[in-house]
Amino acid sequence: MAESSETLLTDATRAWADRTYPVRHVTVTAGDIRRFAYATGETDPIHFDREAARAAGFRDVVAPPMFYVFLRVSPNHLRPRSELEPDGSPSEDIPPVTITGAMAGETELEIDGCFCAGDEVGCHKRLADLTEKVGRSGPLLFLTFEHRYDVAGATVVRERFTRILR
Amino acid sequence: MADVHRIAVDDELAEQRRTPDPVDLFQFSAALWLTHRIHYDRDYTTEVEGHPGLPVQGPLQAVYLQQLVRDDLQRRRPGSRVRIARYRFRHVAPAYVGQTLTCRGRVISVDGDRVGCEVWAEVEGHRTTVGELTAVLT
Repeated sequence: MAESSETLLTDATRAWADRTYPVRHVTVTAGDIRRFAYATGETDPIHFDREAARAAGFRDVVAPPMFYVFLRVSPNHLRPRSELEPDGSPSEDIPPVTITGAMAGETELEIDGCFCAGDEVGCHKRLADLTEKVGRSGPLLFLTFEHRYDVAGATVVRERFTRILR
Repeated sequence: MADVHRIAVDDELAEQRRTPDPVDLFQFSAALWLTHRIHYDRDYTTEVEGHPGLPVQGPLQAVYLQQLVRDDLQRRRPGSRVRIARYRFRHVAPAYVGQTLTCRGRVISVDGDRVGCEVWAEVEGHRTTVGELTAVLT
């Protein structure tokens, strides 16, 4: 375990931060939207019924606005059991440092448009910032990931998400 | 409030109470294929991670607060659609399964059809998630 006087921002951490993430392509299905809509208590037929969605001016069954979380979480977690940590999380977002805990920081979203069944979404991810700050209990590592979700070349959702490791 | 259809700075949003149970947590994790153990394995979560119970997923709380704004603005402007243009939120303390989240907010800006709101969820008087959201009425 790191002593409070030590740094988490080692050469190994910096090298890890330099890697790029491949673009993931996800085709949104009516079933994906239906599951998210039921899980969040939505009742508007535009999330379940194609005709209702079209009558309301959408190209197909439309997802609720926070559906983008599915696009962030599912491609990253849908992987062989052997690639999951003991806590059930994929290890992709954890740098090679000894940490004692992780906290979610701020999420910042810009939304322009919506996701509909049949959309092929390009999911882009990059580590936009890696900063160390010294907290009362020792060093804290702030990782800011920038995610972008594009449909047919246009960005629908842009998300900045900060994780804090200690 | 004199006129519910008028939207003005400092208006309070109609509060909503949510008490997510284990089925709600399961459905949300399942919809995302979120495999993180702390939302379904109580023994692991209490014994290994030291939580008193299963934490409610942060994004689920963010959904509750987005729905709070949507429902309040739709009540004021029946028939309109509420689009979310910007949303910033932060989880400041955990909320646990079975606890009641009181979702509250107030209008902080009005610019034509764009309405800015401050929102938060609280459990027994302390805030668990706080945010700011810009909605567009169409």
